[in-house]
Amino acid sequence: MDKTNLPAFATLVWEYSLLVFIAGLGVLQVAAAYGGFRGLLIAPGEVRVRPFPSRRIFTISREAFGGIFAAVTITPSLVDFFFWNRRNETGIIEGAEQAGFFVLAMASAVAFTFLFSSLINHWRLRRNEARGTGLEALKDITWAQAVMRSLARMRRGLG
Amino acid sequence: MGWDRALFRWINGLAGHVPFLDHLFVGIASDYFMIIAMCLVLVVMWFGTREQSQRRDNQLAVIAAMSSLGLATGMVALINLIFVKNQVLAGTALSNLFNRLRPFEAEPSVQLLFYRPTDPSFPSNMAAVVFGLAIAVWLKNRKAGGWLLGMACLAGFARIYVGIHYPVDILGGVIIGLLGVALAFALIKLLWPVKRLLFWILEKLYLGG
Repeated sequence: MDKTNLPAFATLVWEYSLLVFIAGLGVLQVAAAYGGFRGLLIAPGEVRVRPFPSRRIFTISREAFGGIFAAVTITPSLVDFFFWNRRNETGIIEGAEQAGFFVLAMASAVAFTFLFSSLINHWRLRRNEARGTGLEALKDITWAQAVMRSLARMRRGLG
Repeated sequence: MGWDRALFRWINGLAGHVPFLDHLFVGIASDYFMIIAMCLVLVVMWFGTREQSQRRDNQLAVIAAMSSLGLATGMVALINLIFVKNQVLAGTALSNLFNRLRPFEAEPSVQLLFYRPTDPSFPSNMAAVVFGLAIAVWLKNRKAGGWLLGMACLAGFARIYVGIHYPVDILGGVIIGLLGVALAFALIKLLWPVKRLLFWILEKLYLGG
């Protein structure tokens, strides 16, 4: 890639980062489902769906939902990366740049997941007590609840 | 090295017969696909383990893998700077190895299915990175590491299949990857207070542990 052609390079970087971000959301959901982190899930319990026009209600476990969500988000991203060199033959984001953009996009996916899951799980998990420390706490409460309780403990300690 | 060229010709000779395989290996050899897939596996290892003690081990493996990835890339860049850009030890066997032409430049009969990289053939940067990452994980988690090693082997094979590397280039990448892993674990051991501080911060931020 001719780096003097900045708009084209920026487009590639934007595409790369967006695809990593989307795949990251899926990977985090499947990891959270299998790790048992209820505070990180965007579908914390069983999901019930009634596909139109059927009258049957299907129940999807949270692990299955995590798997479906991951498949829907990861597959298109990986397919795009699979064909990347075909579309942009020497459209290279070089090794070190790639690592940097990957970390940024993945950190954004982690931040988005932590904040969004905190928002949608807040009421459901607000009475729970965390049984562990660190990431383990997110099996029972959301990330925002964990941080707020930590800060409250610190304030009490200081007071 | 006769066996190297013979093995290259045999593997690259498989190209061009089955279009499906050609498309498959071009995709696998891509600069992005395999490395991103492997990094996504690292994210699953970080967050997707139920047992806390196993998760801590996995998180250490992920940190080692990311460090070895960086170190392996750095080593390849350093080799290119010393032996290719500055031509140190020019004319010696070592310099000739590090300035080796790509197969499609050296041999007229190569089936080239990929774009023409402009840097020297030896060592394979991709192999250094993917093997460094896979071996670091394998040392801490045999199951995940086994899968990652399989993916790394596939990536190495694909780079030969599409005509941009000789087998020895891949082997050179594996050795650099191994050096990266050894260095990463040595640094983690040496800088144990930093490692403890990092895990303490991650745990306090509810991002690790």
